[in-house]
Formats: sequence, structure tokens, C-alpha cells
Amino acid sequence: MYPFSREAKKYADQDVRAPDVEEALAFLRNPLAEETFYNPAKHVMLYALAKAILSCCSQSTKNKYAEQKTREYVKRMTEAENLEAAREFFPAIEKQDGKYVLPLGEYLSYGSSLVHQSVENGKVTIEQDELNALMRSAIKEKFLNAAIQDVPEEIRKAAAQLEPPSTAIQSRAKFLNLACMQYIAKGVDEGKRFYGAFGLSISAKRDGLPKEKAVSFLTEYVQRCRGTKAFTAEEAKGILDWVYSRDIGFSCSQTMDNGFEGEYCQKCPLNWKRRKS
Amino acid sequence: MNEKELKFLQAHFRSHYQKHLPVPPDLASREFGFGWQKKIDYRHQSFASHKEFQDFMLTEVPLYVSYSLAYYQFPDKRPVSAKGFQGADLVFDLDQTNAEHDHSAFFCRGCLECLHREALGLKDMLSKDLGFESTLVFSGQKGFHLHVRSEKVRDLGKEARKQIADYVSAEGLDMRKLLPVAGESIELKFREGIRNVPKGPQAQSRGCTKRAYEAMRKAIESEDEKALKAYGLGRKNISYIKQNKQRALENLEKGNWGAFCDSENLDRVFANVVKTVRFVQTDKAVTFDLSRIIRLPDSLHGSTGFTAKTLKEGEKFKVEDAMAFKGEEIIEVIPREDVDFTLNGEWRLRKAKFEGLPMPIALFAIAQEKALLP
Ligand SMILES: [Zn+2]
Repeated sequence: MYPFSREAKKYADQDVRAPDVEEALAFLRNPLAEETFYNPAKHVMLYALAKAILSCCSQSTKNKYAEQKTREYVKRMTEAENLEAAREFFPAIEKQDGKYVLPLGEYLSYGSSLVHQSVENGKVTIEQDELNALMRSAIKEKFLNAAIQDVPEEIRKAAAQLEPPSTAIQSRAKFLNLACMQYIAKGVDEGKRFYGAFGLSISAKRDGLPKEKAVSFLTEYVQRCRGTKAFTAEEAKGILDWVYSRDIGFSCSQTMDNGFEGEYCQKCPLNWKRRKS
Repeated sequence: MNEKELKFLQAHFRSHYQKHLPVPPDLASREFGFGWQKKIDYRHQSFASHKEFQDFMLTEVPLYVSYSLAYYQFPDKRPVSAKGFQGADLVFDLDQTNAEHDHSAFFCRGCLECLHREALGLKDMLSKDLGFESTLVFSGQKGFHLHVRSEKVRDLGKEARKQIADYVSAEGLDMRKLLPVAGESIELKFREGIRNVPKGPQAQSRGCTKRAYEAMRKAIESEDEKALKAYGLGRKNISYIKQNKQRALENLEKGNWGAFCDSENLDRVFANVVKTVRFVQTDKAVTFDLSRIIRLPDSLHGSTGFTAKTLKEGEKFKVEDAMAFKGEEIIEVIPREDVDFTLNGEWRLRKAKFEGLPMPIALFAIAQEKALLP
């Protein structure tokens, strides 16, 4: 049974134990085990935990694992020619002469290439490849749509294990190596992403980082940020362009005001508050 | 616009609205915008009832009336995010044409004719392909709008609307993705009976691909050299088609375009044909911008004095039919520049030379800011 199906709902709301979190990590990292697929209660629990873990991950990690899992499910569905699973997302889909026919509205809910489809009388006829693409975006959305409040600590820790090691800039960088900048570079939450990019841009400029290096550094930063609304590499580059075209000094107080004051400030050579007192 | 001319237009607009007040469906859920000097001087206005709307129109007499495609819980709140979006109609705006015609810089009737034809084509495509029934409305000045008011479209998001806009204009179309067999990897020579020919639009195709098939069939059947050339077929191909028409048609039916078209040209020819049956230039932003306000159908256009007329199914379009004002009364005007135009007759206005014009023509010249009242 597919864990995102309607039928799966009856297995939801199970108690979660710490070993389950470990298993959910394995579920995300490894191909789906056959015995899990045929054990609905366990499958649904792992799926729910995996979603919770991904909700704490950076955008790029989230995408990576969601896409990986999604591909597995879609492959399985294709092999099983399972139209029932597709009907979870496209209730009116039908198979006709080896192709699939679905109403335009259902196509548009997940499809992204209407211009290439054959459309007649409000119905879209698609090939297997396109159905797979639709299923991928539908299932991926399921993986990423977790709205979880107060995530338990062990889930946060599990999420951190999925993150790749930070590729911090190795250089004589003075500002980019500050603890606050290192913290930002790991990716920040929605609401802080703009100021984060701003701080990194100023530091990069002050450290004399060539612009193209700064651009790829910020692009990585954007991918590590978290949030529901998009924060794009273009937006970050806009900030970088603005900063690089001006002469702006690094300001400790400004960085703190922007919400990046942390425990690390205690040990920081630049700590403005400590120096003042 | 000066006070005197504005008052003149308003007096006529008021008397028109006393008899013919346009009211949109779901009036109370729409946001309105009005203009006197500009098309929209202010927006975020709403009306709880027909009576309230009527009072406003007859007292304030705006020269331009726009309403939201969207339905809102609180149409007058701002910003737009506070209005409580409840879905939106789908609208296509045609105001520019690439079709060849004798273009005139001022009031081009050729543009209107071409755009009307394109709008009918789009209306047909919306119905046959997408299953949307639409209402065709003259914009009151330079173009046409197609309104789709249906449950089917109300909840479509911005992305979905963008895709629909791309679909009708064939934007971003990659023929290799559209056709079942890619032509790239297959070495093809121009000869008949070849196997593994990339399949083109065929008798069994659907939607726009089917229309591409029909367009090509028509061109072959009638040996329409001009069309075949426009599709990108070379002279050798065209003479082959003329000599082996039946065979070419049989191959076309199966999608074997390689039988009458050079292989290296196939992609381009497919694309050309598809584009002739599916290419409408629309102002896309109107289609996907959910907070757009647009000319209220059957309201008057302050730059022409024409009605933004809703055209009935099959109704022919003649711009004179959209003139809201009739009458023989002669009005004296002072042209502000030299202009020539055709509107219920031929008119030649010369700068600063007093001219007595029938009221509807005078009103048009004044609304266009080409003439002043003495
Ligand atoms: Zn023109």
C-alpha cells in the first residue's frame, strides 16, 4: 500500500519511539524494503516520520531525499501499472489505447507542460512518461507538505544527519569566518534569508572575494535556506550586486539587530556589546 | 482632458447609462476601478447592490469602468491580499496583431479586423481544445477580450493560467516533445516507403496536432503552393507532392511526413504547421494576473465613445455597430492636429480649422483628444 493513499489514513497517529526515528532515517537513505511496502502500519509510520524529518531540513536536502523516494514509488507504480495509485491525485484518469486521459483541471494541478500535450475538448491525453512526471510532482509535494508544529528534538537531530557538511570558504577570510557568518552560511529560516544574504555579501566584499566566487557561495547558501515561500538565487544575487556596487562596512551591531546574535557572540573578537561594556 | 470636453463626454455618457447600464455577473463580489483622466484613476471600489452601482455611475459618470476578474469576499479591502480571493474568471486579451494588413497609425480598422479574426480562432480553440465556452467582447478601442466564466476555471492558480496562456500561443513549444517519435537520432533520406520515419501529425492525432494534420492535408489536396512554401517545404518537395498527391495524402494520414518532406527539414515544417493552427498573440499578463481589473463589458470607452460590446455567437464585427451614440446633430470642433479616419464615412480634420461634425464623430474626435470644443 502506498503511504500517501487515502487508505493509509487509518494507520496515522501512531506513537513514535526513538528507534523509529533511526529507522525513518534509513527509510530516507535506502531503497524501499519489500517487507516495509507490505506492512502498511509500519510503512505509514516511517513515511510520516520521514516527512517530519524533511520538514527540518534545508531546501536542497529536502529536495534531494523527496525526489529520491518519489522516484522509487513512481517506478513501482509504473511497473505495477497501478492506475489506482494515480487516481489518488487524478481521480478521473483513464487508460485508453496505451495512453492516459484526464481532465484539463486535473492535469494542471501537477503538470507543467500543457503546451506539449494533446488536448481535446477539455481532456488531456498523455503518455506514460508524462504521467510519471505528474506522479513525481504529486508525490514529491506530499513528501514536502508536512506542517508540523513543535518538532521533537530527536527529529531535528535526525534531520541534521542528512545535511551535507558545510562547504565553508577556506581562505584568509576574516569576516566570512566569523561564527555568525558561518552560522548564516549553513542556511537560515524564512524571514531571515534576506538579511542573511545581505550579511554574507558584505562579508564577502570586505574579504575581497571575487564576485563570481561570491555568487556561487550565495547560491549554495540559498539552497541551504528553509522556508515555504521561494527565496531564489536571483534574489540573493540582486542583494550581492547591490552590496558589491557600494562600499559598506561590516557592522556587528547591524548583524545582531538583523537577528543573528547567538551564543557564539560571547567568544567573538568583534563582539560589539562586550567591548562596549 | 480639459474640463469642458470632460463635461461634454460625461453628459453623453450619463444619458447612455440611464438607458443602458452594464452590470457584471456577481456584482457584489467584484472590485471596480474607474477613470476620468486615466484608464484607472482609482480602484478597490465595491458595490453591495445594483442600485448602489447605478447611483455611482450616474453621479460620478466615469469615462472608464474596469472590474476584477476575481471574485472576492471583501472586494474593497486593500492590499489585494486582504480581499479574500474566491476564484477568478479566465480572460484573454488580444490587442496586437502580426497579421499583414494596411496599417494606419491612427485608428487602424485593419488591426481590428485581424484581431477579430484571431479572437474567433482563439474562441474556437478554447472550445475545441480546452473545453471552455467563452464570450467575445470588443475592448472599446483597439482589441478584443475573451471572457471564460465557468466553474472549470474559477479555481485555477497563476501557474495553471500561465500554462494555458502558453498553450494558446504555442509559446515554448518544442516539436520534438510534441511528436511521438523524435527525429533526431534517425538517419533519414528523402525517399518513400522508409521505415522508422519520425511521425508527424496524423489522422489519429488530437487537439492542435490534429489541426496541423488537417492544415497540411488541405494544402496538399488543393496543391496550395503558397501554403506549402510557407510551411517550409522546398521546391523539390512541392513538385513531388503535385505529382504524387494521392500517395502523399496516404502517407500524411499515417504521419509519414518524411515521404514528402526532406528529413532535415521535418522538425521545422512540423513546427511551422502547428504554429499556423495555433498561434494567437495575447497579452499574457491579463490571463495569469489574478488581481487584474479589465474593461467592464458593455461599458463605454472614454477614448472613443464606443461600447465595449459583447458580441453574440456568430455576430459579425463592424466597429460602427459598437458606436454608442447615434444622431445627426452637428457639433463644432477645433482639430488639434491633422487626422484622417474612416468611421461611418471619411473624415479629414485639419489642425485649427473649425469643423462641424455629426455628434458621434465629434465625440470620437474629442475622446481621442484630437479635437477641442470651441
Ligand atoms: Zn493596423
